[in-house]
Amino acid sequence: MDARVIAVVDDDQGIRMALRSLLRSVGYTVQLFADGPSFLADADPTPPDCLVTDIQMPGMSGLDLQRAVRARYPHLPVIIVTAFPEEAIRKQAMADGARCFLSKPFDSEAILRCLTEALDETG
Amino acid sequence: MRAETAKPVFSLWPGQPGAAPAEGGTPSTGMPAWASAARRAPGRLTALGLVALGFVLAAAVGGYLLGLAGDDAPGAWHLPAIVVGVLAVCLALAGSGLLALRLVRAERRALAIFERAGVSLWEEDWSPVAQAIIALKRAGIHDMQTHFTAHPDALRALRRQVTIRNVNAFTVQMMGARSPADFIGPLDRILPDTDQTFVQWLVALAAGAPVFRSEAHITRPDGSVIDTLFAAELPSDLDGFRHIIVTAIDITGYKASHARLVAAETELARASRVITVGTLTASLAHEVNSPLSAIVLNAEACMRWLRRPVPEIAEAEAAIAQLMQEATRARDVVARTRSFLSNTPRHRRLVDLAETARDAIMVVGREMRELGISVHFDADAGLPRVSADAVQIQQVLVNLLLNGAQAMSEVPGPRDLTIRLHAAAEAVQVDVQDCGCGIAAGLMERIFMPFQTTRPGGMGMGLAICRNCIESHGGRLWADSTPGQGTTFHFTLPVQG
Repeated sequence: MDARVIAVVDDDQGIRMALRSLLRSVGYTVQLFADGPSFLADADPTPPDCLVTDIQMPGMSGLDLQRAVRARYPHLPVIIVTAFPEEAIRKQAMADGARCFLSKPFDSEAILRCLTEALDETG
Repeated sequence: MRAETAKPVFSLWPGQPGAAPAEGGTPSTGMPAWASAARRAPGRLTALGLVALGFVLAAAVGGYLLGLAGDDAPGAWHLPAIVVGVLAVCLALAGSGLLALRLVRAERRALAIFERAGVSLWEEDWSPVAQAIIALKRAGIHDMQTHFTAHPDALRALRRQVTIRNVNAFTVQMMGARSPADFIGPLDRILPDTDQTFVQWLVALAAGAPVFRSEAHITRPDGSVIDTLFAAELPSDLDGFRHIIVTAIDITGYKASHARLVAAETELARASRVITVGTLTASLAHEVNSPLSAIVLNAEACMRWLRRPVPEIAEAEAAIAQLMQEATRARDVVARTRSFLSNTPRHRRLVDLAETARDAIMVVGREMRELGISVHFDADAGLPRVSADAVQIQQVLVNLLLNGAQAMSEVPGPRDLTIRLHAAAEAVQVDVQDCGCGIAAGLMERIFMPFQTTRPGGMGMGLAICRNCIESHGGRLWADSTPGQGTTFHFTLPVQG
C-alpha cells in the first residue's frame, strides 16, 4: 500500500473521525480539517494527493474552497460530499472540476472507488 | 345572583353580545318580570279612551251646572238645561263612535304593515313556554340551559307546543310556499331536530331579556333547508307571549360565503403547516443524516480493520466507540425534535373554555346538521380561565365532537350530543357525551394509540394527538363508555395558581 495523503475538510467531527478510520483502514494517510481556511493555511508547501470536502460549512463553503484549491493546485483532485444533494449545486461542483459528488449518507465503496480513480488519473 | 343571570345567552349569531337580561329582568323571586306584569294596554288606545271619557264627563258636568243655574230661576229655565245636557251626551257618543272608527282603521293599518312589509314576519304563540318557565321556576329550577341539556326530550316536547299563528306574504315568498297555511301549526315542523337555538330562546325568556337574535336552520315546505337569522322583541307581560312577532332574514348566501372564507383560511393554515413540516423535515434530515453517515462509515471502517490479514482490534474498537457515540447523537436529535413539536404549546394565553367550546360547535355546525345531531351545550357560570393554546384545544373539541357524531350515525332515535363544562379540582373539566354504540371495554385503551381506527380511510391519529395535546397542557384526557348506551370523553385543563 502506498501512503497517499488524503485531506478531509468537514465541520462535523463525527464525519471527520469516521472518514479517518475508514481511509486509514485501506492504507491512506489522512489529514483532518474543520474548515477550508485551515486546510489552505496548512497545504503549503506539500499539498495532499486528494481533497475530500463537505459543502455546507460556516465561513467558507466547500464550493469556495474548491475554487481556491483549483487556482493554487490545478491538478489536485477534489471530491465533494453533501447532505443537501441538490441538482443545481451538483452541476456547479462538477463544472468547477470536482471528480465526484457524493450525498450523505454514502457507503465506503462509493468514496473508495472515487479516491482510487482520482489518484490513478493523477498517477 | 341567580345562575342564569350570570350566564351569557349563547346566540348562534356572532358579534352579538349575549342578550343581557332586562333591567330588573329577574326580581328577587327568581321570576322574570313578565310573569307578574299587568297587561300592557297599548298607549295610543288608552289616550283615546281617556279623551272620550273626558268628553262624557264634561258633558255631564256642563249639563248639571246649567241645571243648577236654572234652580233658582222659574221653571222655564229647566228646558234649555235638559236640551244642553242631551246635546252634550250626543256629542260624546259621536266622539266615541269616531274613536271606534279610528281604532278599526288602526288595526287595518297594522295588519297591512304586517302583510306588506318587505321583511319576513312571523306571529307566534309562545304561551305554553311561558307556563312551562313559570312552572319550572316554581319548582326551583332556574337554569333553563342545564335543565334542558339534561332533558332533551322535554325540550323537544315544548318546541312542539309553540305554534305559528300567521306569517306575512314576504315569508310565503321567501320560503317558496303557496300560502301562510303551509306554516300555521307547531314550530317543530320548520325547526329540525338538529336545531340548537330553541333552548337559547328559553334561556333569554327566562332571564327576562328584552330582545333575542339567533341564527337557525329551517326547513322549507319543499324540504330544503335555509339559514335564517331570527330576531324578536321578547314579551314584557304574559299576554305578550300569545303574539310574539319574529322577523326572519334569509342569510343562506351570507353563510355560504362565510363558509368559503373559513374553508380558505383552514386551507391556508394547512398549507402553512405543510410548509412548516417541510422546513422541519429538511432540517431534521440534515440533523439525522450526519450521524447516520458517520455510523455507516465507522461500521464499514470497523469491518475493514477486522478483515485485514492481521486484524487491528484496537482500531476496530475505536471505530465501534465512534459509531456508538454517533448513534446517541442521532437519538438526541429525534428526542429534541419531539419535545419541540409536542411539549410546548406555542400560543398560550388565558382562554375562556366556554367560548372555545362555542367556537368549536360553530365550526362543526354543518357536519352536525348533515348527520342529524342535536348538540346541547352547558357551562357552569363563572368558570376560571385556563392558560392554553385556544386553537389546539378547539381542534381537540372538534375532533371529539366529530367522533361523537360518527359514533351515533347508526342510532335510529334522537342523536343527542352534549358538551358540559364544569369546575373540577384546580381544573376546568369538559365532558363530551354521545349516545352512540359505545366502546367495548377491551378496546378502551387502544383507542388512544396511534394508527388505531374504525373508519375506512382514517389515519387513526385523532385521539392519540388529542391526548398528547391535552397532556402537553398539563391536563388529562380519558373516556367512559357503556356499550349500547354511549361514550363520554372527558378532559381537564389545569387552572394556574
